[in-house]
Amino acid sequence: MQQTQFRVLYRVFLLRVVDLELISADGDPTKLLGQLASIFATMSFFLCAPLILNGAQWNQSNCWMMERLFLALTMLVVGLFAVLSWDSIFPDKRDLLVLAPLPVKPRTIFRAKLAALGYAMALLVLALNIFTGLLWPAVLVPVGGFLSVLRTYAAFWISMLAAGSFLFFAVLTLQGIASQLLPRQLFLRASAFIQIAAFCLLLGDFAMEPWGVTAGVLQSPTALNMPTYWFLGLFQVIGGASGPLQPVFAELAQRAVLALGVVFCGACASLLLFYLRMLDKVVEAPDILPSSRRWNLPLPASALLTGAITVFALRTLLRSRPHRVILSFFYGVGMALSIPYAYALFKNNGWLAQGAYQDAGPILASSIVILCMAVAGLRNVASMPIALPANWIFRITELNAPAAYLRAIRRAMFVCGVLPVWIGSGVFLCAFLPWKLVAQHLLVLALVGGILVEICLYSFRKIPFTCSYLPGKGNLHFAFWACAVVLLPVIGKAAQWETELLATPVRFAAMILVLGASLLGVRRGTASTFRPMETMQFDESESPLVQTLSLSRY
Amino acid sequence: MLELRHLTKRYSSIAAVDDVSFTARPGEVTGYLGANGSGKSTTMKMVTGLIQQDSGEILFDGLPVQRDWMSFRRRMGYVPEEPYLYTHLSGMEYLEMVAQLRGLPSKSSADCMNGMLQLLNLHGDRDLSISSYSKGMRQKILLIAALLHNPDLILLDEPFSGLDVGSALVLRNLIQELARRGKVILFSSHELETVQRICSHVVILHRSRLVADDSIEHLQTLMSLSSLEEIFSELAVEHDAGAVSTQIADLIQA
Repeated sequence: MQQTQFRVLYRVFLLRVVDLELISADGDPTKLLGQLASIFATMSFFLCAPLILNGAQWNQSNCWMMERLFLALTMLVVGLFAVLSWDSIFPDKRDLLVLAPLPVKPRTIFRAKLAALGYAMALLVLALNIFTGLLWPAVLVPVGGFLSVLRTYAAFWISMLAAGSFLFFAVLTLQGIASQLLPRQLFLRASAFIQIAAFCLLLGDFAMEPWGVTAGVLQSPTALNMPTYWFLGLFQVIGGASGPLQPVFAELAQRAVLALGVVFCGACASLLLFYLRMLDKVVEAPDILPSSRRWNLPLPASALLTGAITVFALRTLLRSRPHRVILSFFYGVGMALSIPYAYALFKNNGWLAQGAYQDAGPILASSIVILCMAVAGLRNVASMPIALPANWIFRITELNAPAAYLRAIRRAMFVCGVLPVWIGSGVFLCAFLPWKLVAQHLLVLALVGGILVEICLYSFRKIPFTCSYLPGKGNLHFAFWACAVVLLPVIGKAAQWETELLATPVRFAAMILVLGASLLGVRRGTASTFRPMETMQFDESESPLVQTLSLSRY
Repeated sequence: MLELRHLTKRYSSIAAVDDVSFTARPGEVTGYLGANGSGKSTTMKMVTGLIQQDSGEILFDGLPVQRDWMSFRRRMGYVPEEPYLYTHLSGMEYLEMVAQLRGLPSKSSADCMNGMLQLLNLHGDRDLSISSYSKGMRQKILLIAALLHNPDLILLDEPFSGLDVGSALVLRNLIQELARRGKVILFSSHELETVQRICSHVVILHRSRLVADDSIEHLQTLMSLSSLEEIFSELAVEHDAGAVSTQIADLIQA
């Protein structure tokens, strides 16, 4: 009986490890998990490219660098996965309300949850290293026989699993501590901010890592304080490294084992405390705390539709955790990508002197990068419906022409996507740059933001947060990420041009004219996609009221 | 006057609504009855434009509604069968959003909302998130959202669902009062006693087809039956309720 319950619960929890609604509403979980696994396997395949291009000609330093890269990548992906699955690590109120009337012991739920999490993490590590784990150990193997080869393979997989587990358990421990220390409602509210901070920290750290590994670096205090070096040491020790650096690797490996032990104990304690202390609190906790009346902006009659859609979008972003998490992921990527720009500037020049326009390029580029990611992130989350069945109210109150809706959606996207970055950049840049340069750049930023919003709205004939993805369609835009990688150097170059153009008033005016004309052009293009429409679009596919079993497929 | 002419909706080969025609007149409450799955909610959704009919026509005041949906929507209020709302908003925020989407002036709509919230005993909870509302509270929000713009046509799809006794009595009287003021009211419910009390005219569906469209008194005379429940059982219930309940009890014990 208990075994059957365990199997059923394990399967249910496994398919819900990552909140799949983040990826696709009504998606087929197994299909989407398969898609995710194939993405990671593809990454693994591309990481083998240097090996294929260089053959087996690798010096020791490059081997260490690649080993560390694999470890860091595994830790990053597992860390992001752990942050994404934050809400499904512990049973939630829905789980408990469904399971409470059934004769299921909490111990069975606990075991099933643990097994599902462990299996999901192992799958992730396997998918991410499936090709690298087959090819790289053959290059990294020290001189020796068949046993050395086997030992290197074992070292590779053990260290990868250990590195992944370290970060996963660390996130679990962090969540456990937060859930024990904070009152339940405060913990739920703080969770979103902890997730955002974790995203930025993980991605920023990965972007900032100096990748070169030399004997000198391995012996420096830096290595002793960075988890990727600890697990590099573990890899070397299990793989049987010898030579003058053996004691260094041994010390690093010792740290890895100690750290893994600490976070493992922390994670176990978190889980145990949760099951012993928190289950009742989760069931009894109200869904939402009583709130006081907040704000009500009186709107003129002409701005009622715009106000309704903008406020709806803002409230959804502020109150819906899945939307915030995805948006913060984009912000995290944006900040991680912009860190090298700012880092390079401060490293070389320190604070900028008054009028030092020529040196402002990198820091201006960083604000454009964050703006691009913010607008792209908003466009992404705007496609995720907050409550599909509730959309009927927008449909029966559709009393305006699509052009009016376009104006309202445009304003909402600008307020939610461009304005926060615009204000943030203004405040941040004023601390480092002369106000005149900041004012000029903010004007440019507003125009670029407007253009980005228009591009995002092209053929997007939907009210934000009301439309859905087709069932089974992944919410992962490969084309977007490919474009982002290609556009990064372009943005850097564009920012450099911008600084040159900002220096003279005539050139600045010409740039504003060009950007303004571009904005008008894309606006016209977007409006043309709305013109033939008679009504707004709410779903990509109308869900049938009569469901078929599709027996013909079998 | 709302007029449905030969309205049909099919899903694959299954008819959800099959050649249904009837008229709902101003000043009277038209009861729309049928068993689960008989096509009542589908008809309501076709009238609101949420789903498209395969054939047939819907006319309001003699004009096909498809000709100018926007004008029709301005004159229509709708309470759906399921209280689906944006639960991340508070009751007041949701009503404000509906008022703005309908283009209602802020001041007058706020007065109207506050008044209705007070009359329906929801004013104290207006700033709570809808996710913490009971089904009855959500039903009240839907009702206010449907009446906010003083519609000429009111579509009520099982509006008593989840309401407490006091609110149900208010709603019952409200429906009659609105009818007296000349509104067209199409009212779907499973509570036959309520329907008998407030409806002057009933339309009964069985297996997606219309089986009765008449006043209750006339149906009683015609069928020589004393209550609406008996009329409904005769026209739209196929099974013997007593026998079915015995079988269910037997199955549980088996």
